This record gives sequence, C-alpha cells and structure tokens, in this order.
Amino acid sequence: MIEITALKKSYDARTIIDGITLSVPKGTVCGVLGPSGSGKSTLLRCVNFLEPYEGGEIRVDGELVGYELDNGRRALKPRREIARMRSECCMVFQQFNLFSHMAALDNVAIALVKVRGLKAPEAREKAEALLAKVGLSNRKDAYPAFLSGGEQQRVAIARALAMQPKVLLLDEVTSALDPERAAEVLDVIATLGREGMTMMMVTHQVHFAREVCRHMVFLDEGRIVEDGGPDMLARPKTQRLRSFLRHLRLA
Amino acid sequence: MDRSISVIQLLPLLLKGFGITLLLAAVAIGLGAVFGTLLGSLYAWGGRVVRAVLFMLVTIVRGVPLVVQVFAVFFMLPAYGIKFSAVSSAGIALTLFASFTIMEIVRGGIEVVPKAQMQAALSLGFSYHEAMRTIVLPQALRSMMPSLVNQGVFMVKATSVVSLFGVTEFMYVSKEQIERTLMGFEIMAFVWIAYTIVCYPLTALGRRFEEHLKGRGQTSLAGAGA
Repeated sequence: MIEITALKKSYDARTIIDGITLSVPKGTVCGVLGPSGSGKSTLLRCVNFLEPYEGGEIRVDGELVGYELDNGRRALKPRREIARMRSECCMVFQQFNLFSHMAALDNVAIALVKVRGLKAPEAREKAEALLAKVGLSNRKDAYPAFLSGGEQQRVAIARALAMQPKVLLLDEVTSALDPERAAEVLDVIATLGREGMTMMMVTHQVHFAREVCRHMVFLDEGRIVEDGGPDMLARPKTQRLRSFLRHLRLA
Repeated sequence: MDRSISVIQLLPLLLKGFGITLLLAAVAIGLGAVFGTLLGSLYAWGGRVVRAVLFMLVTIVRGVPLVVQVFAVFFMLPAYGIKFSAVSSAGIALTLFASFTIMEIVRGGIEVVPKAQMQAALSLGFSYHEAMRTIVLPQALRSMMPSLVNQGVFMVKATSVVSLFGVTEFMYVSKEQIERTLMGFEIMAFVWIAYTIVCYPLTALGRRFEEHLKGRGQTSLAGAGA
C-alpha cells in the first residue's frame, strides 16, 4: 500500500531523511521508532505531502505522492491532485489539532462537506457513526476546549477516518497524553489494526507497538538502522537500538 | 436668528444629515471589511513581493492623519480629471482608510491562529482557500473582534471629518443649523446623543459576541485551546 524508495529530504543543508526504503503492505501496521530528530515525523509528513521531498519516491496504492513524472522529469502534481491524495492518507497529530471553533461532531463532518462534497445532514450522520465508533457519542456537541486530551485525540482519529483513507498516519498520537488517556486512544488504534486498516505509526509506546505492529523500523539520523517484526524490540540486533531501548525503559 | 423654533422642528434636517453619516459609515465599514479581509488573507498567503507591496501601502495610508487622506482624495484625484461627488469622494477616502486598517487587524488575527490548524485542514485534503475560509479565518475572528468593534465605532465617528469638505452629513448639517438658529447647546446635545445611540450598541454587540465565544471555550485572546 505504501512503497517508499530511497527517500531523501533535507532542510537547507541539513539532511533529515537520508535514503529510506520501506514497504507497508495493505492491511498491516508499521511501527516507526527512533529518537527525537531521527526523521520519524518528517517521514510521515512526506507521505501526506505536508513536506515536499527531493529524492527517491513515495507511492501510495501505486500512485506517486506529490509529483508526476513528465518525460522522466519530476514536477509538482496539480494542487487538486495533491489534496485528493492527502485525503486518502490522513494524518493524526501529536497535538490533536482539532478545529477549535467547531464542536466534536462538526470537526468530523466538516471535511466530508468541504472535501468530499456531501450535504451537511448526510455528513453529520456519518460523523455520528464515527464518533460512536471511537466511543464519544455522548460528547458530540462539546467544543475541543471542553474535551480531555484522550477525547480530543479520538475525535481527531474519527475526523481522519471520515475520509475513508487508504492509509492512516499516526504521529506520536499518545505522546501528549497521560497513561490512562493514552490507553483509550491505543484501544481505538488496536481495533482499527484488527479491522485491517493500513497504518504507519510513529510511537514511543514499545509494548503497544509490539502488540499491534506487524512490521517495525528503527530510525536514527534519517536512516533505517534496524527493521523487523514485533520481536525486534525483544531481541535488538544493533547496539544503537539496544541503547535506545535501555533509555526508553529508564525514562 | 429665530428663537421661536425648537430642535424638534429641525429634526428632519438633522436626521437627514445623520442618515448620510450612517450611510458613509456603513459603506466604509462594509467595503472596508471585504477589502480588508481579502488584503489580510493575501498578506498571510503572499510571497515576499506581495507582502512588501502591501506593507508599503499600509505605511502610506496609515502614516498620515485621516483628514489628510480625505484631502488627498478630494484634491488629488480631480487634478487627474477623476471627479466624484462630495459624498462619493468621502466614501472612497473612508473606505480606503478602513480597508487598510482592517487589513492589519485581519493579518494579525490570522497570525495568531496556530499553523497546525491550517496543516490539519490541508492534511485532510482541504484546498488552501477552503482551509483559510472555513478553518483559519473563523478562528482569527475571535482575536480580531475587539479591534474590529473599535474600528467600527471609530469609523462612525470618523465620518465627521468629511464635514470639512462640504459633505452634508450629520456634523455639517448640525453646524449649519447652529449658525442659523444659534441653538448651539440643544443641537450639540442632540448630536452627542445621536452618535452615542449608534456607537454604544456596536460596542455591546462586540461584547455579546465575545461572551458567545467564551461559551465555546474560546476567548478573544491568543492561544486559547489546542
């Protein structure tokens, strides 16, 4: 579903992603681990094309993200195409980023209206179903400021799911939450994983990652240092991952 | 001089002048809000060149007293053969002033909205315009509200400036009638009350709107909610 090949990305002279090749098959969950500044978030943002990239390619469902090839030369896709692809691989952010001037229900419904072109009543109906799915039917009229962090993040997940994306990109979605609130959100994600949603998930929740992720990669300085299955964290092969996990446990 | 008449008899004349005042204020605020929002959005969206041009224009427009701007429209445009009626010229001058002042308010309001809001909208597949219109601008409005209300009240009062140019608005008509009837106190008291009756509800409306936002957990100050 997601094919990343020799991806390169830099800001000015600083290289953020230095040749990452990664494949996430349909219906699987890929966990992305790594220290701060290792390029994890940037990697996800490239897949959603919130960040352009200079080298290599990203394909979602076979389609090149952000660019089109014209006689072998790369050019930016038309804006409408970029927007359409974004709506097919939605992102959930660490800081939730709910639209603060809208109640929970409208947060989920608005993109259905503005991006998918649904009529408002139909969009609201779908949004209600999605809020029910994340266990927030009773909070649909609450504004984000009155929702707990865990509730906000579940609304954010419902908002992304509303687009019926081919891929869900989760960027440290529990890092801003206390363990109990995090558990609420992780439950939702685990359910989605069982239902066969293709996901790429940046996380520091090692235990959770082992349960949910079929495939895992460990990034450092913009490269994949180690990749493997769920048992990679139990038996790390590289010294770099071993020391990272040791610090994570101490923290 | 005719001491036998009362303000009541002058009312039709005075109110007609007040009507022109309100018309001028409504035009300046209405068009100013439209142009100001467009220019402010343009500033937020634009590249370096667009910003430089807008910054220059704002500096020019805001760097001189309103009176000078009105003078300029009244005397500089006719020099190039562009002639308007006195009321139209006043409307143009006031709209120009309102547009650039509101542009600054809108620009500031947009800058206060966290960038992440725009990114969240884009990541869902919103176009930039749609995201600006449905996500960023409504949120910008909450920090803009106090300044916008101030600006609205200011524009109502500022229309009095054009009485200097023979525009028969409220102040001009009132001055005429004072000179004719010498009822300075009565007429000025009426003028005072009339301006207040219009400006006070504007302020109150602004407060109501802020209360409404507070009910949603939003305040007019920056940084509310994540």
